[in-house]
Amino acid sequence: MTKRATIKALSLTKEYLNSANLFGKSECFTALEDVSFTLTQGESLSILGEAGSGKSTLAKILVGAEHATSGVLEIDDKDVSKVKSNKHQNRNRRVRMVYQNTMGSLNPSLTIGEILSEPLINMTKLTKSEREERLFNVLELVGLKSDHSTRLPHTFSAGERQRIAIARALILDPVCIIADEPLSVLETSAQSQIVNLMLDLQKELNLSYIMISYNLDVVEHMCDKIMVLCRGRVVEYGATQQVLRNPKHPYTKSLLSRTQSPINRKLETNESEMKGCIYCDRCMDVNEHCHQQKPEQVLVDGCLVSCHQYSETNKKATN
Amino acid sequence: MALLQVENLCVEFPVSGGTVKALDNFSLRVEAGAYHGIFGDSGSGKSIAMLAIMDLLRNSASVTADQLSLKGNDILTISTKEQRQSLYQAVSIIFQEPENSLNPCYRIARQLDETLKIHGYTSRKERKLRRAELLADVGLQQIDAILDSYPHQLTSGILQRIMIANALASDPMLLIADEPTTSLDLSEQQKIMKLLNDLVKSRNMAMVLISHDLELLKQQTDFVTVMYCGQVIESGPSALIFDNPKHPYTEAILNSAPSNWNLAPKSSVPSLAGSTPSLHHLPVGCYLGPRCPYAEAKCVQAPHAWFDGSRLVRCHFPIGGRDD
Repeated sequence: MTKRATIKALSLTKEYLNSANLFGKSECFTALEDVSFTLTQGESLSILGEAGSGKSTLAKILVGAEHATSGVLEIDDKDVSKVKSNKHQNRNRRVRMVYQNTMGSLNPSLTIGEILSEPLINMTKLTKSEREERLFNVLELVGLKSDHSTRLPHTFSAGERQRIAIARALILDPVCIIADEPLSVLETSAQSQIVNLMLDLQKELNLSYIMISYNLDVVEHMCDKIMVLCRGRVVEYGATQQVLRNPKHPYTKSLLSRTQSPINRKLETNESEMKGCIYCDRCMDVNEHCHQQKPEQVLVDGCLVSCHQYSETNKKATN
Repeated sequence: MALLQVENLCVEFPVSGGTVKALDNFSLRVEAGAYHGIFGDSGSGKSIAMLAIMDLLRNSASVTADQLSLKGNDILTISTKEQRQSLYQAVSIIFQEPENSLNPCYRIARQLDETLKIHGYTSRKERKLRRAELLADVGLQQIDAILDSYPHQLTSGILQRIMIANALASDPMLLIADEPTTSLDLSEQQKIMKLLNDLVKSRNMAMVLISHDLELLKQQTDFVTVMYCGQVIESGPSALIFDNPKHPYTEAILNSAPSNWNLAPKSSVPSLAGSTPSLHHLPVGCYLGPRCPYAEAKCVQAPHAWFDGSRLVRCHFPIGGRDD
């Protein structure tokens, strides 16, 4: 039986308008370009990339906090890319997010019960008793007790707060949870507990995960696929083992081997002036194609790679 | 004579209805040129110990110790400006988030100048030379552009390099790095750690590194101290502790570290049950007791730290038994 696709993204592009000064012409900054992927039920995808690579922009589009400039986004077989409204009622109920900073993402003046019922009040028509039932079910799912619902966030440890954040993501019965560095602020003993919790929930509820994480050991353990983003472009996309064991794109190689030179975003080449490959100014083995032409995605050993090294035009040229 | 000698350092913070003991009999001995690691959950007192050593808790907590000395000079009761100056000349500290350590309103050049002035670089020309030298030492390029920037214009990797340059301004004998890479991204983390390690070696400084990264501590440090709820629970040579932990907590943490999993994908990973108790409601006896897989009736009595010849352990039933 083929598994149902929970998220289908096709050529998602997001552009922001940057005005240089008050009267100047506004510039177009492409935060994401032509991002496509499919995520089926119970599958986990990891998004790798350094700061500013568009990971958070993609996450925002998927939860519905931002709208893609172009492209198609299907969640649970429903096309949501046409919904043009910033009202939170129209956000994607089926894709929820867990943030990195456990203290910053929970309102310090609300009790856990209030925090968890907020999405239910705003986005469902459940009665008070139904809401309460759902609340206790979800608390139990994440390993907390029902009497925790009257306590305030600061009375919990960071690990427990991350459980609460996961409970809040689960309360609307999502098909996919996006976890943005869910472990990085937790202490080591809590990290493995949260990993176990997320894996158990995945099995029990058939959830899909999108993990944004730098911790390659965790990514390797939890994720089926990896997508590597560089300045908003997908440079490599394939199975976890393939990408980690045998990276193809020079950017992935340098990301995994951790040998890049420090980048200074303010001082480097202007991206909008770059015609060719998005990585050509930092790549170690560039050829003349790289500066002039954008590489196409080609399939190499089951991984999609955008690099001239592997593209047909380059092969012909060298032959 | 040890460079830094700390014996039974205690820190208590006043809270409504009493005090909270954030640090309970912390001891540390750092020889010149040695590389120390400190590991522990958040709230275990790692940072508090370092702040107490740097005399930064003077107004907020009561700090007591049997001994706290730097090169044989007592620094617990230092009072005069000159004495404090000599402490900050010999010891520098780097904090977690470089964005918060730098003043957002001043350009980098001015902030480095401020430090250099305190350390006796009086002429402008001297400071200019020293600034460029320090920034080059930490591997930065386009130094003029960086000196002319405000902190928000630079990436956190570059800011942390600037903080390291700042810490090196006085040519310290001891560098304390309090989770220097936590807020940086993966590729940047590796580079900053490599830079710090190279600097420590080339300048022959002693280093105390507070980190959550067990792999890093294992590779780099000569000695490691593991802390739990304000107490040192195991302390000794890194090779011994990482290969053959004696305290149940050290063992559990080493097993649950992602780099030690080596399991089939998506299978459940080893973890220590429960969560770290709050310092307001510590368990009776051994603080790990309720979470410890090896706990027995005797664990309701607080264990004393004892020395087994090569390391310090605070446990009634250490793994592999007592060696003494």
